[in-house]
Amino acid sequence: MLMFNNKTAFFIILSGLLLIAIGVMRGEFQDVLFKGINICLECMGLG
Amino acid sequence: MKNKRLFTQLTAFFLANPLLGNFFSGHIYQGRLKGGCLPILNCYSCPAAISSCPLGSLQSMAAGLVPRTSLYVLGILVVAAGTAGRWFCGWICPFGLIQDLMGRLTSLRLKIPFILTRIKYILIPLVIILPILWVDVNGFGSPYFCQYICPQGTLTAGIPLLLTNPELRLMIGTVFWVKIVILILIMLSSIFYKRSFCRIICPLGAFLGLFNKYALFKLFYTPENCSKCGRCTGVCPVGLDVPDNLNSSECIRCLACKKECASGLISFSMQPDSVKTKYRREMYENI
Repeated sequence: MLMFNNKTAFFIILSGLLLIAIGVMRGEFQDVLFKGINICLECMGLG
Repeated sequence: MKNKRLFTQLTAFFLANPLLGNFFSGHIYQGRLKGGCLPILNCYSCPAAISSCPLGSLQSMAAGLVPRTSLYVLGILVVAAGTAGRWFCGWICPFGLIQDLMGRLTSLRLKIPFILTRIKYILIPLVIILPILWVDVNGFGSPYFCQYICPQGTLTAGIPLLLTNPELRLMIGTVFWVKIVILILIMLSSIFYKRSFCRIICPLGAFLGLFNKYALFKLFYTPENCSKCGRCTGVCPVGLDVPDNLNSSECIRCLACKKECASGLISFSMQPDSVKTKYRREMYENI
């Protein structure tokens, strides 16, 4: 197939998807959500 | 459409930051979408934002009492980088849009010394390692890039939230004013040095750029019919010698070179035009 001629890109994307899956299984979606819903004082320059 | 990129940038800006009413109420979005990250510099404390910032998330997790690298966020960045490299910088990033708008104030384009463009690559490991190594007496690190540098956080989170929250204003200290000075310097520099922040400081763009050569979507050039007019190099906002450095990690994939090439010799796709033509020919022959 035309798309999969670029094997390196295919491998990179697959690795990324694997990392996402492992991360979600480790509960990192919730961690990111928890950080994101609270005001980040450091980002504002107050922390 | 005359300026497809500006339209895409504005659309992406409002899709990533649709809750404009929060700028007046001084609240931030607290729904489940905040668990997602986009491969762009978009502060999660911006009142209008509905997703999280990958750099902020990576650093926050590394700065915890039990420091760890977020594979989830890293995975999102790797998928994005493997798909289109720094295309997200050129077409989607809100801070890229802000710099582009500043750059429109003048056509003057000054050259950034090469050594300064290396700083962002040093910042990539520091963004993850510093919050783990540089901890306080209680063992907690800090998202140092966000805390001391990130101009996007100052502009879209700091200023609007401080304007609407008197309690937060009581916490203003030296670091805030340092960040304001950094923001002003970056804004002013982006008038004369196109995309100065992206080219010198942004560790996110630097990371995405490392994959430019290997991404699924790349720039291709057909040298046979090239008249060497140099127009592609002339329009490059990051000052690349386009035909020779087509997939350089510095390229933000704005595709200005592709648009400028009158002969259509530059393409942004998964395969060079020659391969696509061969593939199509084979397809037709098999029918």
